[in-house]
Amino acid sequence: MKSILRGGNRVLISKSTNVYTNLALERYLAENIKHQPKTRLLLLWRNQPCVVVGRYQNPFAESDIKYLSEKQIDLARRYSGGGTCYHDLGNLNVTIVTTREDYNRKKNLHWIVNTLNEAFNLTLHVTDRDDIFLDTFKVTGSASRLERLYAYHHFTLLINSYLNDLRRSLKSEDQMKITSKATSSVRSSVLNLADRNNSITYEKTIALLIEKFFQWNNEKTTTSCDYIDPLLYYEHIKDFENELKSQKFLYQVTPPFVYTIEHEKQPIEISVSNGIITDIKGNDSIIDKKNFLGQLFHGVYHNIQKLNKT
Amino acid sequence: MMLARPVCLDTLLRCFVLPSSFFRNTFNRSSINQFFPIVSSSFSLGQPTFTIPISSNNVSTLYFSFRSFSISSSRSSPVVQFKLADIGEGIKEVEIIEWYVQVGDYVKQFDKICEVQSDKANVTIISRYGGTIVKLHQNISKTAKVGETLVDIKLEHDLDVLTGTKTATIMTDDTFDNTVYKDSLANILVTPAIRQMAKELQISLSDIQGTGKDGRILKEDIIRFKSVKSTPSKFSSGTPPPSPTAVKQTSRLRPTPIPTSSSLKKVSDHSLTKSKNDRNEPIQGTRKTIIQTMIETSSIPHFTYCDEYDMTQLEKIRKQLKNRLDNKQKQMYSYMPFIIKACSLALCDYPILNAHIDSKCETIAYKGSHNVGIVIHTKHGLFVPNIKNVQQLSIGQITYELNRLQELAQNAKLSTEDLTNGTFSLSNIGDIGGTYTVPVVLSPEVAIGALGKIFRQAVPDEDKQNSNESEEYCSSPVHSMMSVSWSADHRVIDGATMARFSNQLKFLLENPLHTLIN
Repeated sequence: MKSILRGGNRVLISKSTNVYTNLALERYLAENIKHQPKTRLLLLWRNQPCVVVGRYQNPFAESDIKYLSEKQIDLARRYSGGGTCYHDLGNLNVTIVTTREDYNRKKNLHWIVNTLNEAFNLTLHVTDRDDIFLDTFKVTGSASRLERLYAYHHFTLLINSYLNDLRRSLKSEDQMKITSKATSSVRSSVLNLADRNNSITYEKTIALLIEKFFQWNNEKTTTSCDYIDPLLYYEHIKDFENELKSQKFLYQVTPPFVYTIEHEKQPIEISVSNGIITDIKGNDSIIDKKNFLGQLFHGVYHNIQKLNKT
Repeated sequence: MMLARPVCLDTLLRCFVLPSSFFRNTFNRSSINQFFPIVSSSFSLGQPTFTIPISSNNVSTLYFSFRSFSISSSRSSPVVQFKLADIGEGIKEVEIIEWYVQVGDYVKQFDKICEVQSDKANVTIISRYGGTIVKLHQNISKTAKVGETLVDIKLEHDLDVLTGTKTATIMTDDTFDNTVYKDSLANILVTPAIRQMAKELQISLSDIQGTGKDGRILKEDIIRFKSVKSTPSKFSSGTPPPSPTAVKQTSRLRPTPIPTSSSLKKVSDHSLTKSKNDRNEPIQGTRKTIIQTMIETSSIPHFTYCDEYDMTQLEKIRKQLKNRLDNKQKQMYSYMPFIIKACSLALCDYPILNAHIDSKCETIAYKGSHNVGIVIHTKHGLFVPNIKNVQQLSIGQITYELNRLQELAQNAKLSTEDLTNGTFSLSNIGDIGGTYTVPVVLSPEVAIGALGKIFRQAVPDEDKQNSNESEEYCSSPVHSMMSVSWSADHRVIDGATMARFSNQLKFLLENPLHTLIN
């Protein structure tokens, strides 16, 4: 157990494809590893189809919640900020964990760009917003979290994801109905790396990154690379995992917002705070407030949808 | 890279505080951890975060009960503004996402204050101070600029000096601070009654070795500690020629005269009659900063060049001036102002010695002004303030400045301005005693000199060497010689440069008229 928490330049690849498990593992490692200055930890992971929203986002504004539940696509909220992304097995997640002082997002991204361009003959570039673009298409979204003793920067890499599913999942009709101060995603057209160079596969990419990672950090060998089965550490990560799965964290942590619907041609404004409907503004005669006030918004969401436009 | 000057500042401030409030601070921290283990853990990093809305009608019981236990000092404590510090990455403003505290909450150092977000990076801002939140200055979802105030904190004691600056910095070197603290606190097992007793007796619990179960501190331990403490036992500084030059020593080390054989005997007698307890002292504050600096300085390749300067002429001049001016001014003319001025003159010819080098060794920054730093030993610690623009000052003005800095140092009232931007340093170890040493360069400077004591030495007169062949009848005049040790950063300074500089200085000091003319 202890050896998993040692510091230094290391690569860990998660055997799990459960988004909650992986997010919990990421946080557990970031918080507990004895990070040494000037060294980096590289975490590589991928998930079964899921949508991951940023810490301060509104899942209703970012994705089609109904579609997600129909297709049994998981919805998760991560601990770092930023925007929403769609994960599936063709989308590689990369996390680089360092001490707080060594945090440098641009360095990480430039390393990736250089490595991939060189190996796969691509023309990737890093933008001002710390995204990686291939021409006009986005292939990477980044987010980071800076705590006192550590900081991590994670990003996705579209290798050969199902882009149709991606677009469908991230399409939200509620976007127009929601007014809030939550972080809203900046949408971009996306592209898979494999679309540009069809020899690129997930396996090749991780092998490349592992080798180059150790070179980047001036390590002579690649022996500090392990597969990690999060199940073995279940006891340690279960608190995080349970939190990530909880309705509370998924829905109630959303910053306060107002959801406007149209019922019998009149607007009705539903104020939600901490996931609970705190106020409804509108013509009192048309809507029976009792049914909704004090309820969890995501619990009565279905009913609200029914009211809308009827 | 840590600059020596800010370290000095920390040293200054921490040394100022340590003797008076250090023990009290330790006591309070440990008591807080003991009394509020549940509450303190809720502020730890490991716990899930949840939104605390600003709206006042949602008061969680956790905070309510916390407030009722708050230990706020009854004497008037200052309210400090905790500002948003630079987060890095060129970020100038952030969005406030979440508050982790409310007005009235008690926070410890390192507790979470709020969460901010800037273009996809979320940062947890932690408190630099311990105290009560008096006011929240920012609103959720609003932008705050770096440098703006986040919260007002009423400190639990007037220990704002302990933390140095007043901005919220994401602690870097203090991570070491925290772990040491935790360890020392975690080991202290003591009942509230004993804690109170220790407080009244002004004893730091971390100094006491507990003899009870699990290392618990008992009443007897305190009584025994007190009686041991009251007998003089501080002879521990007995390391031979200390290399005190330049870099800081512990605040407890006073400039003691070189122990004579009789006083040494006293030491051994003393130790035979009274058996001392072992004592563990956690390394905190000043000492830690010193350790850090030492580690960093050790990576600089040094070389040392030594010589002896004939101070006879200077001695004569000093006597003359002293007699003349004693009536008018109270200022004591020591050799230092002369030496400082002479150094500056010599630096004009060897400007590379008055340069700064960055930690990556990419640029040599030749500095225009000669800001000569002087190492001053005080009871508060060791400081290296510098006299600015020595090249423009007369010796009289240098003397005035030197006296000013010395007085401020003795009272631990040196300003940041005085302690920063030095370009060249001198250490007078001669008044303590000692001849040659290997001084340590004060990064980012590249050279430092240590002036040994002036001793009388018979120097064969070279002019008369040939004429006087009889050895019995050899009368050599007695000169006052001062030993000097120069150290320099060998990455940028070569031996020849240092040697030539030293020769130049030697000439100027042996022929003081040249110095005075300029």
